[in-house]
This record gives sequence, structure tokens and C-alpha cells, in this order.
Amino acid sequence: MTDAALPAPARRGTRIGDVLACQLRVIGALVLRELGTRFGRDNLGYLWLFVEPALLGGALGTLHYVVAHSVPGGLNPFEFWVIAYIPFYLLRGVINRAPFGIQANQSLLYHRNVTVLDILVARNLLEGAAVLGALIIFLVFFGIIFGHWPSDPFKMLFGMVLMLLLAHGVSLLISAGAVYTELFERLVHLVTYLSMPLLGAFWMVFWLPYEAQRLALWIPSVHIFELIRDGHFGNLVPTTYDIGYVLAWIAGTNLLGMAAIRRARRDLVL
Amino acid sequence: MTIWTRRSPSTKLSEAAGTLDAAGWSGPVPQPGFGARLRRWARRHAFALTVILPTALAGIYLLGIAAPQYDSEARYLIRGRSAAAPSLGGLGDMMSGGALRPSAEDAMGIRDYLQSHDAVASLRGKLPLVEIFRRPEADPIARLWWEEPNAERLLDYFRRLVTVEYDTTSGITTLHVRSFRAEDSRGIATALLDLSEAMVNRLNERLQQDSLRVAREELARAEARLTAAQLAMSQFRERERAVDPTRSAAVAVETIGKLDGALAQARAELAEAQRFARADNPRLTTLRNRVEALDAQARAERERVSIGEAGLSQQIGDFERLSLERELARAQLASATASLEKARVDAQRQQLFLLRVVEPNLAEYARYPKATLTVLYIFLSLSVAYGLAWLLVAGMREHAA
Repeated sequence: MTDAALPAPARRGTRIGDVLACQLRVIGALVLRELGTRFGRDNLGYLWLFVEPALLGGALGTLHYVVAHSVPGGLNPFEFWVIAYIPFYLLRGVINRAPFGIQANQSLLYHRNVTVLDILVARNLLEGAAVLGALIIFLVFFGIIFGHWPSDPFKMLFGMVLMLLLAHGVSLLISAGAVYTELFERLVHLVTYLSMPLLGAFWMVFWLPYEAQRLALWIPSVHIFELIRDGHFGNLVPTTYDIGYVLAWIAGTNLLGMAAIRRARRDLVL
Repeated sequence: MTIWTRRSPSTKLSEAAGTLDAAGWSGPVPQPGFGARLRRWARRHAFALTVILPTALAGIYLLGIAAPQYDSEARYLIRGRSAAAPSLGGLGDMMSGGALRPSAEDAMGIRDYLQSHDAVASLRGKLPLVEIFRRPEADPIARLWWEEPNAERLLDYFRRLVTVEYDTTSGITTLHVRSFRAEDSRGIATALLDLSEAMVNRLNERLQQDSLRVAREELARAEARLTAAQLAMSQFRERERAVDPTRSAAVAVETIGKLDGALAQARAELAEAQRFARADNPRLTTLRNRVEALDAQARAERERVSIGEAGLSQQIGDFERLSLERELARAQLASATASLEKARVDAQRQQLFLLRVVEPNLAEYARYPKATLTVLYIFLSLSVAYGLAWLLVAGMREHAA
């Protein structure tokens, strides 16, 4: 009530709810635009969004299933590899796309309401939705074919959200760096490829000897993969994770990432 | 003609908000309300309010108010004998002893027991647990809040102050107990160690009694079988009036043989006498009588051995069945005795041991609460959270029209 006593026009549109709504509208529009530019309307169109990660995960799972590598702990190898690969696909996809995020959408920045952060959030949200969709397809598939439903789907969902947030934080840093140097574009694929065995997607903590476990638990993504496996397999295998540690990493990377983006925006030559 | 009148602006703020519009009289610009001023002030001092203030509060509590908490630490090992060692029989087994090795399942079992309501309940029987957690020197935030807590609340509080960690590489379990007095910490730690020792002993007793019980039952069964066999044997002897039918049969056979021999000899002599003696010779009569007597005797003996219900062969069959049963019962008794002996030897050495590596110590310095570190953590995490929020809000504000 008392707010109305202040000069009205200046207050209009600066209220936090209004600007948040505006930002959400912008992000929504950017997601739609991204969908269009990435998949177009031909062929399967937007369906590729889910089909792409599902195909990759499924192919990898089938490959390991056929080769019949047994997984320690007696897990179904197909399930193990799919559950490992799909979150990994999210992490890798978000980080690999990060250096091109600003460059590809630079022209949008002429609109006053579109910020760099909006563009990156939209891209990463799209990626997260795609991978989550693929994961759900596989979970239903597992439930029907193997008769094994996730023991705690909310843990899996939470794990995927954590993975997206962590990847988002790192991708912000990389995007900001890509404004200054081409080095990130050149190196990001190499680094994600080389770090593949370290990230914890394709092994479990309890396979390792105690000393190696302690080292492995320094890596934040290891915790997330373990959390997702805990959600899927439940008590079938022992899992080790610390959500607080992951949250600290997420807070740290996102803080630095957003700060870096703000700095980079000033140096960005349109 | 119309006369335009304007109402004078209200002096009350609540009305002013509704009646004054952009085109209205300027009037006196009202002082912004208390809420608005507070909000503006809060916005200006956001960092102080969301980061500095909580950190300062935590600092005041931790450095000024919080009662010192003393930590008592104890370490122990749970070891068991390897069950798969090849047995060499009673004494040999005892000498070789079986390898002692850490037993992870039992250690985890004891660890879980120590953090269970069961342990808390047993502990309450030994120590005034609630009183210990509500010592007068304890500060009102850290102490147990309820004077008569229900079991769940006490268990939650207990788990906050007592940690048990099992290290898979060394097999050592570390027990940490915090409380407001050093003696209390040590008391609880000692009591917990005693409890886990009692638990280990209970487990052992269970194991031993199980194995001993089976061996004892086996022995009783063997004894009963042997007694029954012996009884059947004596009943047989009484009934048949024969101590050992086998031997009587042998004697009978021997008698028949002797009779046969004598008969053959008598017949030979008779034949010889008939060659040269006359038919009325008295010697012939004697010989003939002897042959007849011997023949009759031998036939009678044969009949006695083999024919009829009371025949020796029947007796021998029964007797041999009984004596075989007795032999078997004896062998079973011997083996049952041996396994009981072995079970007793196994029982004599414990299957599980709790080895105290470090006895609970009496703390001299209150290690908790770790005030500086905690304040630093709070400050850092609040700062990061503030930074994130600031960046997010700043990002949103860029969308302002």
C-alpha cells in the first residue's frame, strides 16, 4: 500500500517478480529458438532431442551387453552402462557446446532483454530436458523388459538436476573464457575425452581400493553418478556420495561462472 | 455553472495511498512508511544482513556462549577365527588355533549395534544418560532440550554426539564420544566398549551353544542306541538259554565230527572183525552195538543243530544281527563322543574377540565446538550464497524495461 506513494512510473517493471517473469519469457523463447536451429522441422524434427541421447546410450549399452563384460556387483551390464552413459552425455554435451554458445547467438544480444546468461541457460536447459527425456524412456524400457524399476526415481531426478547444475557452472566458465581466446574451442573436446575415465561414469567407488576411493571422492561428478546409481539400483550395490560436497562445487562454479560471464559481456565486441 | 472542488489530501497514510493519483494535487509528499523504509534499509545493507549478521551471531554463540565439549576416543578391533581351517582333531586344532583375522561383518554389526536404540537403552541402565546430556554447564542450544525425552529424540541426540567409524583397510573401529564433561565422555565410551564386549560374548555364546547342543544330542542318541542293543542281546540270551550260539554250534559240529570219526573207526573195526570171526563171536556183537549207538548219536546231534525252531542256525542268525547292531552302536557312540569333545574344544576358545587397541582417554582440552573453523565455514558459504543470489538478481534486473 505504502509503495504507491512513491512515484509510480519509475517503479513499474523493476519489481523482482516482473523482471523474473520477463527473464523466464526470454529464456522460454530462446529455448524454442534453439530447438528450431538445432533440429529444424524436417525428418523427426524435435523428436531428435530425445532420440539422439537415447540412441547413443542404447548403442553403448547394447555393445557392452553383447560383449558381455560382467559388471562387479552383479548388475545388469546393459542397465549399468545406460545409467552411466546418459548422465555422462549430459555433462559432456553441455561442456562441449559451451565455447560456441555466445558466438552462435551473438546477434541476439542486440535485443536489450536478451542477456548472455539467458542464452546459456536456455541451451543448457534444452540439453538437460533432452537427456532427462532419454533417461525416462530407458527407465520405462528397463521396467518393462527387465522388470526392474528404479528404487528411488527422485534420487535419480535429483542427481540429474545436480549434474545439470554442475555442468552449467563449468560451461559458464568455459563460455566466458571462449570470449577471450579460441583455446577453449580447440581444447574442450580433447579435455572431455581425456577426463572420461576420471569422471566416475564407468566405474563405481566400491570397486576401488580404499586409498583410491578417497582420491576418487574428490571429484564432484563421481558423487553425482553414485547418487544416480543409488536411485536406480538401491541396495543392490553399495554407493558412496556426499551431496553437500557436490552442492559446494555447484555453488562455487556457478558463482565464478556468472561473475566471469558478467565480465566477459563487457569485453564482448558485438 | 459548476463549481469544482477538490478534497484536501488526507493526512492519513493509508488513505493517501488510495486517493492521490498522478494528476492529483501534489500536496505534502508523505513520509514513506515504516515498512518501505525498512525494506530500503535492508536492501542497502543486504550483505550485512544476510552474511555478516548470521556469521556474527554464530560467532557470538560459538565463542561466547557455547559450552566446551570434551571428546573421548577409543579404538578396537573385532577379530574372529577362520572357520574354514582344516580340522586335525581335538588337540591338534587347539594347538594350531586357526588363523585370527579381522571379521568385517561382525565389526559392522557391532558398529550398528552401538548406534542403535538397543545400545542407548542398555546405556541408560548403566549411566544417567539424560542427566549427562543436560549438565548445568551445558549451553541451552547444544544440550538435550527435553528433560524426559522419548527414546527417538534421545537416540537422535545420542547419534549426534557419539560417532562410530569402521575403517575397511585396517579393520579398526574408532569410537568418538562428545559430552560436556571429560569424565562423562570417558564414562560413556567405556560403557559402550563394555556393551560391545558383552555383545561379542553373547554372539559367541550363541555360536557355542548351538554347536555344543547338536553334539550333545548326537551323543545321547548314540548312547540310547547302544543301551537298546545291549538289552536286546541279554534278552536274547535269557530267552534262548544260550550265551553264545556261535560257539555252541562250533562245539556241536566238533562233536558230530568226533562222532563221525568214531563211527567210521567202529565200522572199519567191524568190517575187519567180520573177515575172520565167526558170526556168533561176541566181539562182533559188541562192535555192531557200538556202531549203532554212534550212528544214532551222530544223527541226533545233526538234527539238533539244523532242524526245528530251536535249531542252532536260527539262533546264530538272530545272534549275529544283534551283535552287528551292538557294534554299530558302539562305533556311533565313539564318533559322537569325539565330536562332542571337538565342539567342547571349539567352545573353549572364543570364536570372536574384541581387542581394545586404544582405551578411552580423559580429555584435557575441549576440542569442540570448533569455533573458528565453523565461523569461517558459515562466513564462506553465506558469502558464496550471497554472491550467487546477487548475480542472479543482477541478471534479472537487466531485463527491466
